[in-house]
Amino acid sequence: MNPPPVLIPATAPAAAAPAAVPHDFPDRMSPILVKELRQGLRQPTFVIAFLCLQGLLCIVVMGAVLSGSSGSQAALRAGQTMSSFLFVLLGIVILVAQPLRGLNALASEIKNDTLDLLLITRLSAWRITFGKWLGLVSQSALLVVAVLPYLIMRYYLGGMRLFPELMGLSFMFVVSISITAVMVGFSSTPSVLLRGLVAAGWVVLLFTFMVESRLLRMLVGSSSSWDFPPPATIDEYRILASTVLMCLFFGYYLLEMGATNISPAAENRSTLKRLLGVAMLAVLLLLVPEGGAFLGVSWLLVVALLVIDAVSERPDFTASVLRPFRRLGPLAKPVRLLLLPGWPSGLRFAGVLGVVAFLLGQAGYLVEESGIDEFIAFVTLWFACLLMPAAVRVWFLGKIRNPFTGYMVALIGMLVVGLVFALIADTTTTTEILFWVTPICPVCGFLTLDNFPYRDEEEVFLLGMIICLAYWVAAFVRSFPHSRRLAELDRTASMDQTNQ
Amino acid sequence: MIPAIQVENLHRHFGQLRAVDGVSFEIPAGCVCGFIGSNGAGKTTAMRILATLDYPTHGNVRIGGVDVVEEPWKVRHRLGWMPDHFHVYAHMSVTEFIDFHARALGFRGAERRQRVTEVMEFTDLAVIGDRPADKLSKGMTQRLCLGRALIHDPEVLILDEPAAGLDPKARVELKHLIRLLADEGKTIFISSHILSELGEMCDSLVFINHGKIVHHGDAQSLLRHTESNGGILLDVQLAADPAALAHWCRMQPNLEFVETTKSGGRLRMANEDPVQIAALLARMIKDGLPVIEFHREQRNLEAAFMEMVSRTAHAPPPLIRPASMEQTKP
Repeated sequence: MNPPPVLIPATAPAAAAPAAVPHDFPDRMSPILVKELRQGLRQPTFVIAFLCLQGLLCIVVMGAVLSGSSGSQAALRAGQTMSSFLFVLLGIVILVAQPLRGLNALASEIKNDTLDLLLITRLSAWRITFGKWLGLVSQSALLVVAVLPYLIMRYYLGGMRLFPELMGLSFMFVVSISITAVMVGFSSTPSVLLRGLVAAGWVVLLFTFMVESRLLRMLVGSSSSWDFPPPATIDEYRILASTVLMCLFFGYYLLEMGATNISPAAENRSTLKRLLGVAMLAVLLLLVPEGGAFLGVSWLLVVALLVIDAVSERPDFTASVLRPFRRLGPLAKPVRLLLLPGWPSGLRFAGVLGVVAFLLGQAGYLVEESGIDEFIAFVTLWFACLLMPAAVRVWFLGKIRNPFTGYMVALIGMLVVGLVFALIADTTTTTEILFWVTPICPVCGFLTLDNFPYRDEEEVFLLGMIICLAYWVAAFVRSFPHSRRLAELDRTASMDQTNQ
Repeated sequence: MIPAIQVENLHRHFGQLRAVDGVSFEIPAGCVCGFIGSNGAGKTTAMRILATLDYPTHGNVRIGGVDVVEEPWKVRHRLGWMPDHFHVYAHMSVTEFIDFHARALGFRGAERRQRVTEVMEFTDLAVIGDRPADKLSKGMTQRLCLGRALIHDPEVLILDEPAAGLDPKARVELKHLIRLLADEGKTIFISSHILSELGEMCDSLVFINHGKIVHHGDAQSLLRHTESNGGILLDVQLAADPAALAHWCRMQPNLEFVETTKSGGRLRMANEDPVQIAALLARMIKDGLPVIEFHREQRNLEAAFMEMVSRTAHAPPPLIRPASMEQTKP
């Protein structure tokens, strides 16, 4: 650019010295992280949370220190109370306040039209989403680090069980970063209502957990300490590792969903995401000990996430996305049938996952031998519940521009209708109704499985299978026009390749 | 020579609406081209496709010979984009805002600092670098947006309504900046509603209406084009009753009385030959009309634009058959 021109005098005072270019963050840091930290550390929500946490902990520490000399009974009680306060206060900040800020991360960029300005830089959709999450996590880490001096002081009061408390703190942080990722992922959803429901859902879930766990009782002083016993056996270690891995995977996957939602049509995020999902399922098979319900439950949870995402992806992509698949030669067509972006290929991918889940369940990999029949019936109903909103969306909710929002509307609708039927069945004792409404509201089938000894697993399995196929076919029929578009893109891609 | 911007048969459909419908044009390197159309004509959609932020349903768009769909990352290095609506981040100073975008564009270390300093000085923002970016006036915000688009010194600038909402002073300042950039040899594709300014500033104008190009050429060719279709307008003032002029016109071939003015009237003449115009004035005087003023009206771009739009205004936005493909935007 040429030397600066002489302009018409601006409105700013001419005497002011030019502002220096900031040196606050090193160049190697992600640009979006730099932006998030610059903004985030100045935001009132963070500043207030930080100051309140420090202020309250100061008061608690002073109270504990004044209550007696180190090692005395009173000091031990004070130390335990301090631990309780510390964890609850920190929990509120890093499990509620910080993650809920994530719900606005991408939404504010979309609302203010600043996302376009980010997308035309060198930042990919993933780097933007990941940077947003990392910014929030960095602030949460700052909050955690800031309470460590209080933990040390609590140590000197005596009675501290170092490993369980540090484990508890670490686990809380892992949950915090995972749930922050979930919130950042959901923040790409244009529906304010859906984001509000996610926020409310998380708060209710956390509150239920606190009520159920000893956390709340600790707050009122009836329990001895924050207790997170160390794993005793190899299997317990494997379950703990699987739980942490699943938390991180769910976080990663929701971030990827957010990135997919904001990515330009020329950016393919779906293929890698689905492959990593399959890898996660394989890891769970290897990592989680056989026997018990944990493997089956965790597997189906991951499958649910993969299916929900796959059948609710935007179907628009450009010919350039097809080019990498062409390198696979004869494998290109079958691979892209499952791994191309968009819900049409997502439906096929969901179908394959369903078949694999059924076969693994039948072979007894996912559940104990005695529970195979019930598990198989459960799997078919599970898939029916996941496919029904997909079919409803493509047939009846096409006007909702964002497919994920449409899917979630159908899913929530199904859950509400299921709740109504369950209440009707419960109040009128006509529980038979649950079996007959299962085709239109598959979630009722689970109650059938629980409440009707005379509806054996085979009947429910058969019903679930028929519903699954019906909904899958219904949705698949709507994907035919996309096949024509794919063929057109294919011609464009092959022409481009020939030209090159 | 490869054109800076090349658009071939560009279509963009949103469901049943054809926002852009078969648009083709080329802009040579170093040209300033105005993009004109009424609200909803398809300007922003077309500009977003050029800026790699949307993709065409059909057709090709190349910036400096690089396809915006196939290689958007390459295009973004060559392109500066200024949107019609621009928001800045809260809790960030002007310098930090420019610095963030310099980082996002891949500048590091001394080069980043140099780029930020140059842009701040070029846009005259250096003295307000410490101010919160979200507390600037509209004019300053537009400068900031332009500065952001210039950080990587792009060859092509796409400016969507840069002067919208600016006061006259800020508008003059912005026009001055754009002129300077044009003098540097940048290709500038600019949309605006202030047509007179575009006429002065642009080498060529592209008029779009209902998603279709209705004119592409310089301002003079546009004026000639609309005049040749509708004839020339003459303003005649008399020192007598204007009704006499209307009566006289009815007896003349190839002359139409358009409307009565305070002391005369406006006439439309089919022929724009100066000899014929002079002959008309001679006839008026010979027939005893007390002519005190006789001049050819100079049409401006606004009038030409309105006439062009009114010709195609009767047709509603084109629709296509029910969408076979889902068109979604995040």
